[in-house]
Amino acid sequence: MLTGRCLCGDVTFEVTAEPQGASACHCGQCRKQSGHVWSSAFVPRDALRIEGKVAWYEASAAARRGFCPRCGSFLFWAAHDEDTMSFALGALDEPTGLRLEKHIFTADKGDYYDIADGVEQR
Amino acid sequence: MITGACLCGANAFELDAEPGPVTACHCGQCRRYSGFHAASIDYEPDTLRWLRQGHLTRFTHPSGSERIFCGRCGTKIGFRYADGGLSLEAGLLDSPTGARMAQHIFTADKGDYYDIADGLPQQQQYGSET
Repeated sequence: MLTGRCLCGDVTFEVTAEPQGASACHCGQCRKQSGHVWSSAFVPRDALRIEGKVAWYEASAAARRGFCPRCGSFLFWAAHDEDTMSFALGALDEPTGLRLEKHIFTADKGDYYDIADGVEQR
Repeated sequence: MITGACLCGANAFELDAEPGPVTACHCGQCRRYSGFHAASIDYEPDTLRWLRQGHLTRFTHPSGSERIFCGRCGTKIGFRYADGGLSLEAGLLDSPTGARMAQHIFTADKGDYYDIADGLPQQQQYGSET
């Protein structure tokens, strides 16, 4: 079972299903909230057990973004019309057993870096 | 001049300087904080001019470094090294940034689920290129 936590440890989580869609998101919202690029995978909402207080922010009407209110770690993302939740791969304890499968929203990527790892881009 | 603002707009700034090199940090702290790995530019404090400030939240790590983020939207804004040096997160800079990624540091601690393949210099720790 995968486990994870924020930088300060106030928020911890357990992943009880096989994560899907390990991806790096280059959209403008994720770039600001992560500070660079956000990597995540998703599971059914009831397969993500979260302990601790999470601050939620809706950057659009479609989804909410969860971070630790104490240390700021960007941990979760969930669309309102889906019953899944994404969690940050960077928050995971290792080994993760995961591999990045795709880069998404690359049309919005920052101009200060290149994507050169050969992973699929969308 | 570089400008930037957080996701909710509570914080905005101008940096009255050419952007320095962008450093990607793969240490465990930056990975937990960002969700992937960090990318930032160092700056001198007298070059930063705040246009707006709101909900600024600071977290001091036991190691002595400080993370600055917007407590309303979660945007990562800045970092203060334990020795007092300052950096800005590259992700909130407006395009065109005029900045370029220049190196990867603390690659010994990088995540096991991605590769670094852009050909830039890598330092396993920081301060001694390997």
